[in-house]
Amino acid sequence: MNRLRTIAVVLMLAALAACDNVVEPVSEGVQSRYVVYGVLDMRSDQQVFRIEALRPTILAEDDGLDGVRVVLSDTETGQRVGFRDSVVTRSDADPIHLFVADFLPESGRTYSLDISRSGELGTVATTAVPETPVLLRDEALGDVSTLSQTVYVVGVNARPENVTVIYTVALPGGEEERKVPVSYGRITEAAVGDLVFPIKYYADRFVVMNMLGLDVDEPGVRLRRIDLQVDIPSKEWGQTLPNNITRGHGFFASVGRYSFTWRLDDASVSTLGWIDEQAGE
Amino acid sequence: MKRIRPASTGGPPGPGKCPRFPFKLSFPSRKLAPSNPNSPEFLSLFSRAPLAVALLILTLLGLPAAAQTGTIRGFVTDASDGQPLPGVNVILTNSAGELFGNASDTDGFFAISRVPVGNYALRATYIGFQDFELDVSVEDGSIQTVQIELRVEETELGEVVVEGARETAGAANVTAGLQTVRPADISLVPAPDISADLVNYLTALPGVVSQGDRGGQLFIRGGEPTQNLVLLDGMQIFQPFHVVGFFSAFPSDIINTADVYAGGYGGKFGGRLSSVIDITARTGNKQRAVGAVTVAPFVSSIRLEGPIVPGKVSFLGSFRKSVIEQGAAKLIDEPLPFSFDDAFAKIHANLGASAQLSISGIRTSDNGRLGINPLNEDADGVTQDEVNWQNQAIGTRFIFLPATLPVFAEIMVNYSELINEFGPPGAPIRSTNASIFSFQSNVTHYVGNNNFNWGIFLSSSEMDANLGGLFQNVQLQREFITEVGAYLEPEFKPVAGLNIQPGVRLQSFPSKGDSFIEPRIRIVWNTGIHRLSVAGGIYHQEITGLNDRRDAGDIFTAWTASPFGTIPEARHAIAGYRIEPTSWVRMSAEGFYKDLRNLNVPEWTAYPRFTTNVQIADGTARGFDLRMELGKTEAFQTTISWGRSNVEYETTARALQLLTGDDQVSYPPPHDRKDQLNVMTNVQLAGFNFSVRWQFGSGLPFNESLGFDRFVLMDTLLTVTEIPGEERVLYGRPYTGRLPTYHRLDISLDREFRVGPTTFLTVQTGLLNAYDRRNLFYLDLFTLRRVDQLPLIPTLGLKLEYK
Repeated sequence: MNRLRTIAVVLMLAALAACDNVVEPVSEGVQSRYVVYGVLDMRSDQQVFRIEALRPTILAEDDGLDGVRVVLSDTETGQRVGFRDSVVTRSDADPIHLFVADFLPESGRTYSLDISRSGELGTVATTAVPETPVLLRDEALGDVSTLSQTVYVVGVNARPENVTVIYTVALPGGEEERKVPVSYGRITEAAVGDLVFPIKYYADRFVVMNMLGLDVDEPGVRLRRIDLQVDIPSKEWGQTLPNNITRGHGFFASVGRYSFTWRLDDASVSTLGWIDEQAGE
Repeated sequence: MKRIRPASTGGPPGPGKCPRFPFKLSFPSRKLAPSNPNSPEFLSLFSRAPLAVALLILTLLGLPAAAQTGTIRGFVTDASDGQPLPGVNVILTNSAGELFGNASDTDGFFAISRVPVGNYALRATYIGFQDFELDVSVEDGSIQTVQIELRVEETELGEVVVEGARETAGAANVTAGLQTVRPADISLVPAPDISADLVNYLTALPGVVSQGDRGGQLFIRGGEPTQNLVLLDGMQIFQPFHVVGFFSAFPSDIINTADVYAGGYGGKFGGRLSSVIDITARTGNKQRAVGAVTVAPFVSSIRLEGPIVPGKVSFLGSFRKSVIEQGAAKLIDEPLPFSFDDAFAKIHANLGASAQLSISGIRTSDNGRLGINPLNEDADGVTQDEVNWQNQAIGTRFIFLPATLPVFAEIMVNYSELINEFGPPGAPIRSTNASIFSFQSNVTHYVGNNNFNWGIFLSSSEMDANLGGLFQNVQLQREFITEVGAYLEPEFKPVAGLNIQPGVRLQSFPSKGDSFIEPRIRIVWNTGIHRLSVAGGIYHQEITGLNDRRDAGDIFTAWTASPFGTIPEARHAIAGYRIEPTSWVRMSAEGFYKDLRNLNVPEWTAYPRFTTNVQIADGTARGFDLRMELGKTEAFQTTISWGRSNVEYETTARALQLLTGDDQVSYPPPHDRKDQLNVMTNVQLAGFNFSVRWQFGSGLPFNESLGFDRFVLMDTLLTVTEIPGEERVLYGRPYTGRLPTYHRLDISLDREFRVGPTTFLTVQTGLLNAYDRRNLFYLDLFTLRRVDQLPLIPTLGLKLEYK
């Protein structure tokens, strides 16, 4: 009899334990995690971030963004910019939520992006737009086949992107002004901290004249302005595992665009076969 | 006749399965010790210079005994079929009442050396057999070899002859990590099939964690499957457990004994960090042809055995093939994509009274689909990866007793091979091919109460694997590894019941430039109803298995020499206590600690299913087992066992910097089952045999998910609006979640009917997972689809046996 009782108890316990069969695969306390992919971009006066809520499964249909507010704040001035939700549907993927605002970030500012619903501790991502660097330069040296000038962009904390020299010229016999960009691409030899590279006027001359549809020795081209444009990414780009997103995931960074202008001396302009109409001396 | 009660048959066998001295008696003349083993000089010499000890031993072995003595030795076999009988108590009694004795080992071999000259009554006793008695006369310097054939104790019940009970080793009969398993033990466990299997018993042991019904993986006291050394007649079997967790390459029909060392094993074994399962197969019936055929929902089998030369040479052949898709799958109307088979054959020859030769061979084949890979889809839906593997091994074993020395010697030459593949059916993306050719010689010198075990070994392995990019930092290529070594393991018995077995194993891998000296120790003290035991040692594993434990559905294992030149190492410490207060109650408690170093583990990543790196991990496994056995007769036996353990790894996971700023992490590996409870009962009534087993296991760790996103790789200033993104799951911290508890009730009922003079039909019925518990095997985080263990399955099996 006792044996039967023991067996009955064991079976009862087993039956009770059988109820405990639920798997909770999602960590507790992560309901309000969001994923943001986006770059705060000084090159544009409209900022776009791609945002989604973490889904519990790959098959979840609810995008989890109802009632979510996205606000960008300047951490120094307190200036706040609200973003509006828009949905882009692609044929080859699920709809994408893009949050858009008209806003031009400023260099040297730190911005905080808050993604949350009312009353919840949402995801916070921060980025500092790189400070404006300083341009220094040597004198231009050389003849028509070697003329170049070394420039120094001081205070660069990441490898510059899209280094471009823009020549503004007027065509011969008229007032039509054209801007001709000559891309130097990514200056791979640049060291973090300073960007040092030679502007190869002798080579750029060929590009400019070609872009204008002129023979390289065509007289009458007037140089009116030289600009150097550099895109400098924020530090997150250089980190294997950036940790600037709290309670969330994705990638959030910024990129600064900086322009410098200077006057090429008269003699060098003449060496290139151009007429100097630059402003200033 | 004095009544002598064996103190134990579960003590630690040494090399050559050397017998233990099993008696609680004092020895009137103790002039046999080669020197005082407790003296500081002796211990110092031993600890500092194993070579000197070896020379000392050899010198001592050459010395004549101080007194006039002789040696009685021989083999104990079952007269009905010629099978060796292990654990038989062999006692010499003289007219003065002095007793000398020993127990037979797995070969049925016993030796009683340095027996004073005189006349003795030799008596051999074993449960289920008639006592064997013989008068022997011991002469000075003589070595007598006695063949003992025990006859089955039979009870006439009308026309029915009832065989006597065969002895079980007992689930609570554990000694410092060593558990001996006999077929009678295995038969107590309800099986899903009529043919019982060793693995079904192993999974009932505390400290042994299995993946459940699927996968064929055993984790023993914190160790991983690749850290278990599994030997069948000395042949290494790389992946011996079938894809369906109830079956292994070892049906109980072919097993004589299995010694399961959950740690702390002696110098005879090496090359694995965690455990040793040393199986000795039966030798086949030497008297008459017998056999059996079984039909059941999971497996059908055939076994044939018989004499080639009656009384001298026998054969044993066994073949099993799964019929799951034709049987169990139809019963539950659910696809069970598993198939396997195994074949075993053995020829055994008695080459006279003092030599035996056996040749064994085995082949296994497994195929199955264990999980779901949602990223591997085709137009028809989900395509599951498939795993398959084949083991092949052949080996020969020669044992002999030199005519003029009290020595037992064995020579083994073996070849083993494994092929393992994983990936979409017909197009595996990962494969491995491992083979090993080995030679080993084990020698035991019997000097009075003390034994001196030593051996030499040599092996050559070939490892080749294609990981399919699973690990970024490991590029495997075909390589050859040579190992040479030796061990020395004396066995001292300074006082009655006390057995001290220090040892050292020397192994060298010339092709890798690695050499190891591994000290071992094993001490067993039987006193009254108590047994105390401790064991420990240092172990290295040069040839290791790499697998991705992040995915339960992936049991592919690539065998290779340890990458990075860091050799995995383990240090074991085990302490146990066993008590047998009455003949029907036995209890044991055992604690263990394993310090694990330089393990090769997959690096935890925040994103699953991507390739990862192999990382070096350290870890610990600690815990204890409690076991209780009630009942001794076949009429009623119950075993309750509880195991508690804690396994923890510490390694590097760079992805954790995101969460913690630190890339060091401690975590429980996915086999860290904290608690295990097993309750087994076997009752025989009115010719019926009723078995029930309830298993409980706390939940295994798994990676909790933070959720899913669509990943965009932003390594340039791209526009996020143009990239669709790639589905990705994000993990939290490693293995913070726990799966639901595992528990199951299995029931079986069988009865044997006599259908001819020597023909029997056994009918077995049962319920597998009797209360239909949905035990989780695999959870796919992408879809939350779960793969459960087997549901409630009724079974019906038939066995026709010609005995």
